[in-house]
Formats: sequence, structure tokens, C-alpha cells
Amino acid sequence: MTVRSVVLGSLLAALGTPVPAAAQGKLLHHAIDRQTGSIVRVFQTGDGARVELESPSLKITREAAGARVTTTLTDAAGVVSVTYDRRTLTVKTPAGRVSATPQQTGRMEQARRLVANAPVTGRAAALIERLGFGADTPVLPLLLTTRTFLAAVSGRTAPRDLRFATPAAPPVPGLMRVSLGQQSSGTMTPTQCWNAYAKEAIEAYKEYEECIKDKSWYEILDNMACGAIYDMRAIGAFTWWLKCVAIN
Amino acid sequence: MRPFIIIVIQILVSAFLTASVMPLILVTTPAAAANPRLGLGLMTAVLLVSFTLVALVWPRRKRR
Repeated sequence: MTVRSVVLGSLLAALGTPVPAAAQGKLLHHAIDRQTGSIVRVFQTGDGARVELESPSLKITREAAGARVTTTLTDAAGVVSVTYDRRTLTVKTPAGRVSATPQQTGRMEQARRLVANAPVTGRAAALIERLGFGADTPVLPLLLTTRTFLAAVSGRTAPRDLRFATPAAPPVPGLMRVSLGQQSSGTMTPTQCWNAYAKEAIEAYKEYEECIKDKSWYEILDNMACGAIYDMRAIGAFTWWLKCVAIN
Repeated sequence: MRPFIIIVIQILVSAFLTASVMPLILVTTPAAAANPRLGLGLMTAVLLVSFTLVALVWPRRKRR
């Protein structure tokens, strides 16, 4: 065996062994909104949770840590952050920074105006409004409270959300072809196949991360079992996707 | 006939590696999960890299 073989073999082994991406908190939920092309991610952080909504031109982050809630809006023009804890509201925008307590009505109004005058506030509220998630999506209520919060701080009126006001339509009886699988791949478009594959692959990785979380490095058999289950799920998802996009 | 079989096995091993690595790529690159074109591009790149590495590592008969 040559030195080149050893080096390349090590590279291959490293390529096949995923490393948990836990630097920014544990990913709990990941969803893609087809209507706006935005990505929603929910992370569990050390002392709370963080919800991120990312569109190509705008990023909304809402982080709860203890009693402090920080809403950050980021776009090309800059960063607007609104932090609220039990005592103080702090607003930071490219135009300035204001901190106020509920008793300081003048400063509170100044902070409100600072948020209201930032163009990103309206864009963020509009983006959340356009999301196509249904009322049954667990993230939607969180995002709607963010929108209501933005509307309240900036003095706008938040429109009533019809997704919660309208009762779900009763199921309509009908006939459809079924197969042994969850959904017949013949009825799925390539994009749907990809979405289903991406969802399954991300779930597999999250399960692997969860599996190796409490394992020490010397628990070799346990780690190998986690890796084997991960590989089976990942390869299963991959072969399902190949079958889904195959020409029948 | 033999080189053909070896290449097929190398392709299968590269596909196995690609399938193992893709979930990690989809987690770390959300844009790839949202955009099939980008995702497939990355998948092809990973497949090519894997195939190259597998082909380089593959044991060869020593020349005399």
C-alpha cells in the first residue's frame, strides 16, 4: 500500500463520516415555504430557542433566551434588532440605538419610531404574511406573533389571519389510485421527489445527531450502530429518490 | 471485461459515499434543500469527487 493510498483512504473515510453541525444549536425543525421560497429553521439553543426565517433578500431571527426575546431583521440595508426583556425595550437600527423602560413614554415612542421608519420592518411583516404554511404548521403561530409584535412596535395594524379564522374544509369523499408506498412516485413531479428526499435525508441526519449525542468516543459499537442506521436511512432515501425520478 | 466490472463497482461505491454525505450537505446548505438544481449540482460534484478518490485508491496490479 503506497502513501498515496493511505492519504486518499483517510480522505474517503472522512468524506463518509458526517460531523454534527451543532455549533449554532440543535436543529429541531426545518421547512421550506414554496410560496415565498423562504426557509424556516427552529433551533434549540443553550437557554431557549431560535426561529429563523430566511428569504433570498431578508432574514428574520427571533431568539428567546430566558426572559429576553430578541427579534433581528437583516437585509442588504443593515440590521434592525429589537430586544425586549421584563424591564427594557432596546432598539438598534442603522439610524441609531434607543433603550426604554415602560415608564419612559417619550423614549418608548422614540424607539417605536425608529423601528417604524426602518423599511425592513414592513418587508419582514409582509414576508410573514405571504407564507404559504397552513395553520397546522407548528412554526406558523410563532411567526405570526413575530409579525404582530413588529406591527405593534411599528404602529401598523396587523391584518387578521384567515388561516386561523377559517375552519378547515370538511374532507370530500373521492376515489384515487393507491400503492403500497406512501405516495406513488408516478404521480410526483421531480421537484416533489427532491423535496421528499431532502426532508427524509435531513431527518436521517437529525436522528444520527440525536443518536451520537450522549455517546463517548470509546463507545465504538454504539457509534457504529448509529452510523449504520444513518447509512441505511440515507441510502434508502437516495435509492427511493432515484426510483422516484426514474423513467417508468 | 474485468475493467468494466471494476468501473461499475467503483461507481456503486461512489454512489454509496454520495448517499451518505448528501444528508450532511442538505443540513449545512439549506439552499440546496430548497433548490433542486443546486442540490443536484452539489450531488453531482460529490459523486465526481467520490469517484475520483475511489478510482485513485483502488488497488492495482503491480507492474513488473
